[in-house]
Amino acid sequence: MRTDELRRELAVVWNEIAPFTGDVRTVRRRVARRRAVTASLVVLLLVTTVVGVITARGGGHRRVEVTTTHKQLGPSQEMGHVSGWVVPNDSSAGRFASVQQTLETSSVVEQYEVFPAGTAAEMLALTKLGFPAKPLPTVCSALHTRLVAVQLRSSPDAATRLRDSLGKDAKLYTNPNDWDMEVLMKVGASLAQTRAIQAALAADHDLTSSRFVDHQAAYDVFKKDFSDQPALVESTKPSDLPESFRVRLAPAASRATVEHRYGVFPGVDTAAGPPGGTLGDAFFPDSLAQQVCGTNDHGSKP
Amino acid sequence: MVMAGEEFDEFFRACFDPVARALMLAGAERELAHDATQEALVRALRRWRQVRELGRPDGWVYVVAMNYVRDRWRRQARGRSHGPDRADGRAPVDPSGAIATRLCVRDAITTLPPRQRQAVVLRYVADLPLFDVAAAMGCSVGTVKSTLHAALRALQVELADEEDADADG
Repeated sequence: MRTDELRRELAVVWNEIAPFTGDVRTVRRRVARRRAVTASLVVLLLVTTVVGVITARGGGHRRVEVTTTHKQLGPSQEMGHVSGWVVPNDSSAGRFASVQQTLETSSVVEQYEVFPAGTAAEMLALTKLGFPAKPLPTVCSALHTRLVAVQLRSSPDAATRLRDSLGKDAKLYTNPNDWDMEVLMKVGASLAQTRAIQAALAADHDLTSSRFVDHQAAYDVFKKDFSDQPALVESTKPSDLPESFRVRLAPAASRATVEHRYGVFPGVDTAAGPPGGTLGDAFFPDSLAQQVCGTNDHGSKP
Repeated sequence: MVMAGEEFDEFFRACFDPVARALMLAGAERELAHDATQEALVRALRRWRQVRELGRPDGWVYVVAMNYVRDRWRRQARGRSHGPDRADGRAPVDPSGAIATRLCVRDAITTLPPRQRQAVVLRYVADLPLFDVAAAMGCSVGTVKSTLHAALRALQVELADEEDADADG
């Protein structure tokens, strides 16, 4: 047999394998999620650079075997709401095992998803922010560690309790947004239309909670955001700003499906994630990015 | 924060199935083949501007996905305290029976060691140049050539000169 015959034979075998159907939306969600990881890493970088404290000592010789991983999501599962990111203080296996044990036993952790070591640093190097691809800043060596996205139970002190449990093993960076999707009403939406949405949200099993932001609450935020433009604030009335619902998705809910479901309601302007489109943007304002880029170890700006 | 639009969607549709099937031919189980392809495409989207400029963007996906599969095998092998190292031992059995074994070449390929099988798939299914196969397998072009030679000998394929010509080019 010749190599061209081998190619033909392989093509036959290849054809006998049942076709795969990939979901491009899952890929996009994951990219958004990883941008959030990058963002939390930059926050960590800023904190460590400014404070000048890297507590990556000891713990390397401890080895804690963890066998129960019932809270850990598999590679094909998606987490609904991400409450925050757990970043181990060093990349040793012992440290990670200890962190994982804490997550498994903590009463405030609903579920978590582990991101492999190295990908985070790689992503940081490739981000558009212009970090040098190699060598990474020295401080980044502390970032060559696995990362964990966690979903916490809804309890006011959940983050504090997890921080206490993690102790010196890891830092917890919480997501400033407590919502995953916003249903933005049109400015002139009628009361009946708003009530219809409210009723639909309350009955929706894909959601765990929803919060109504009325004209006045929207105006308060607007006033704060545009405090440097008093003329704009003065010329705007609360009723000029749309009302909205901010909701949290259930663990297994598909964001795209839920967004589509509410996007078609009468009186709804859009149903979408946090401003900027992804969780990453919420974690990571551009101004902070610039600040970090200007103060990395190499002192180089992009 | 620009997300690639329809161009990536099209690439995704064209790429996902061939890459995943090739991984199965290379010995990955169905779920792993799916996960590895998905992971490779996630990475491709993250740096889509760079990947789309490559001569063979799909080749890049093959390489990344194959690396992912190898990493997974290595980790599984490390996790086992007993038994042979799958990454260096025999190919895993194809549990779904998707790869039929009626013809001798099909019999033969399922019994090749994983590295030989990967080399054959990347070279003769994905049609990657030797240089890219080497990148995917994390070794030199020379090693790829010798691995391919061993595989072709096992498959009783005539050892053509084309590999040498390709490598020199």
